[in-house]
Amino acid sequence: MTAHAPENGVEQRRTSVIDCCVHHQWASEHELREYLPSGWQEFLGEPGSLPGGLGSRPIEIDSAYADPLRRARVAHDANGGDGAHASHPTSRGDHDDLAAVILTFDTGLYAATHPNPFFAAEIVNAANRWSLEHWLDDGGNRYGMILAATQTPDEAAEEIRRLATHSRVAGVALGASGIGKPFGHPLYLPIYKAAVEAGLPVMIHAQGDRTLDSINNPTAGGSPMTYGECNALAAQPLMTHITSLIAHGVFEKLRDLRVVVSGGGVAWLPSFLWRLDMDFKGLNRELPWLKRLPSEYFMDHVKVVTYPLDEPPDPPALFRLLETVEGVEDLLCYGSGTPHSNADEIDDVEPRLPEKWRNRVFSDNARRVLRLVDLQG
Amino acid sequence: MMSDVGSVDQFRVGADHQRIFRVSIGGRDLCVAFWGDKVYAFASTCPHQLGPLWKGRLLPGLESSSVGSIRKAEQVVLVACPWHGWEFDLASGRSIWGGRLKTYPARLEAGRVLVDVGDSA
Repeated sequence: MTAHAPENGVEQRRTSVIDCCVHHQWASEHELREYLPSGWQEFLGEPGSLPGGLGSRPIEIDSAYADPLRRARVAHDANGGDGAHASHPTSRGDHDDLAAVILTFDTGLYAATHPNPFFAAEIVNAANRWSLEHWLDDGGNRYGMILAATQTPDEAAEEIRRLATHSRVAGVALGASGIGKPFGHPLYLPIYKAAVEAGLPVMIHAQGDRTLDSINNPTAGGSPMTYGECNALAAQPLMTHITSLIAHGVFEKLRDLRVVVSGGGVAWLPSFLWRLDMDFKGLNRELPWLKRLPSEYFMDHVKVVTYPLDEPPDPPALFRLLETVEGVEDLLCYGSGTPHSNADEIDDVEPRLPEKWRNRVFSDNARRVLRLVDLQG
Repeated sequence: MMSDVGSVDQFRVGADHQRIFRVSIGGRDLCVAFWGDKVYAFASTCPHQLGPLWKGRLLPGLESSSVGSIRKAEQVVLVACPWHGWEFDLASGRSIWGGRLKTYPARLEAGRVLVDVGDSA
C-alpha cells in the first residue's frame, strides 16, 4: 500500500480508474448477526455464553487456508500500526479518488459452501443487506455485488431480483459451486436468467471454495495443504467453470449473459484458450449445439480481472505472452484485490502493461461489463 | 477427366462398406470411400496437420436444434482425421471450424468407380 502524492497527472489518471475487486468485510460476526432473523440468531446461539468464548456456532464456516501475512499485518495495525492493512480498505479513503470501486465481499464468498442451504440463504441475505446499508446506500464511488447462495439457485435468483433494483449493485458474486457441479450445469440457470433480466454480470471469484466444509476441491486433483498452494493454483477452478459454461451451451441459451472472473491472475489465458479451441475442433461431436469456437464465446461473454497480476522474472514477458491472444486488451479489467496480501495497487500494475492498453484495462472494459448505473462517461 | 480407379466390389468391402481406400491417379494420392450407395473421393491428407485420412473414419453428421439435443443428420457424411479428430463434410469439404478438404467428383458407371481429379492430374 502506498500513499498517493497529489500530482495533477497522477490524480487525473486515478479519477478514471475502476477497481473491479475490493474485498469488504464485516468487523465481526456480531455485526452480521444483527442482520439475521431472530430465529436464526437463536439457531446460532449466544457468543461467549459458555466458558472459553464458546456458546455459538460460527456464522461462517472457516477457511482451511488462512493468509499468514494478513494476520501479521492486522496484528501490526492492532498494535499501533498505520492501519494500512485493515480489513475495511475503502474506509481509509485511499480509494475515494477512483471513478468506482467494486466491493466483492471477502469471507462472505464462503457462504456458498455452507452445508446448510437454508442457513446459507439467510447468511447471504444478511450479508447483502449489510453491504447495502454499510457501504452502498450512501453512494460515493462504491458499487457492490449481490452475493448468491448457489446451493439453492432458485432462491438465489429471488435474492437477485429483490436487490437488483438498488442503483449501486453492479453484479452478482458467485464464490463457490454450492451443488458441487461446475457453473455451466443447468441447475444454475435461474441465477443467470435473473442476472440477465437485471442487466447484471456474474462474477466468479476464485477461492470462495476453500473452506473446511466445501464440497469442491479448491484445486484440481485434490485439496492442497497450504494457503500458498491455493494462491498459486487459484485459476484452476475458474478454468473449470468457464469451460463448463461454454460446453453446457449457457452462452447459446443466454446471449446477453456476461461473466467476470477474478482472483486467478491472467497469464493462464493463452494456453487455456488455445487448448479449448484445439480440443473442441476435434471433439465437437459431443457438443453439436456449439456454433462457434470456445474462444469466440469467451471473447464475447467473459472479462478477466487482473488481480493477482502474474509476475514473470522478465516483466515484459507478461505482455508478450498476453498479446498472443488477439483482442486480449478488451478482456482485462483492473482489480486490486485490496486488502489481501497479494493486492496490486494501480502503481504496481500500470508499468507492467502497455500504455496503449491502459484506458481499456483500467476503465473501459469494466464500464462495458459491469452495471454502473450512476457512473457517467 | 474421369479416371477409372477400380470396380465397385473392390471398394465396397466389410459389413458396413465404409472402409476408406487410398488410391493414386496420375501420381496424385487421394481417398475413395462408399457411404451407402454413394461414392466419395477426397484428398488423402488432412489440411490441419497432414494426418492420413485413409486411416480415418466415416461418420454421419450430427446436428442440434437446441442445447442438449443431438440428432443424426444422415444426409451429411463426414470424414474424421485419425490424428486430431477434425471432421470434414465430404459434400463440400468444409470443416465447421474452418479449413477445407479438397474433394473430387466421383460416380459409378457400369460397376466401375470413376473420379475426376481435373486436368492437372
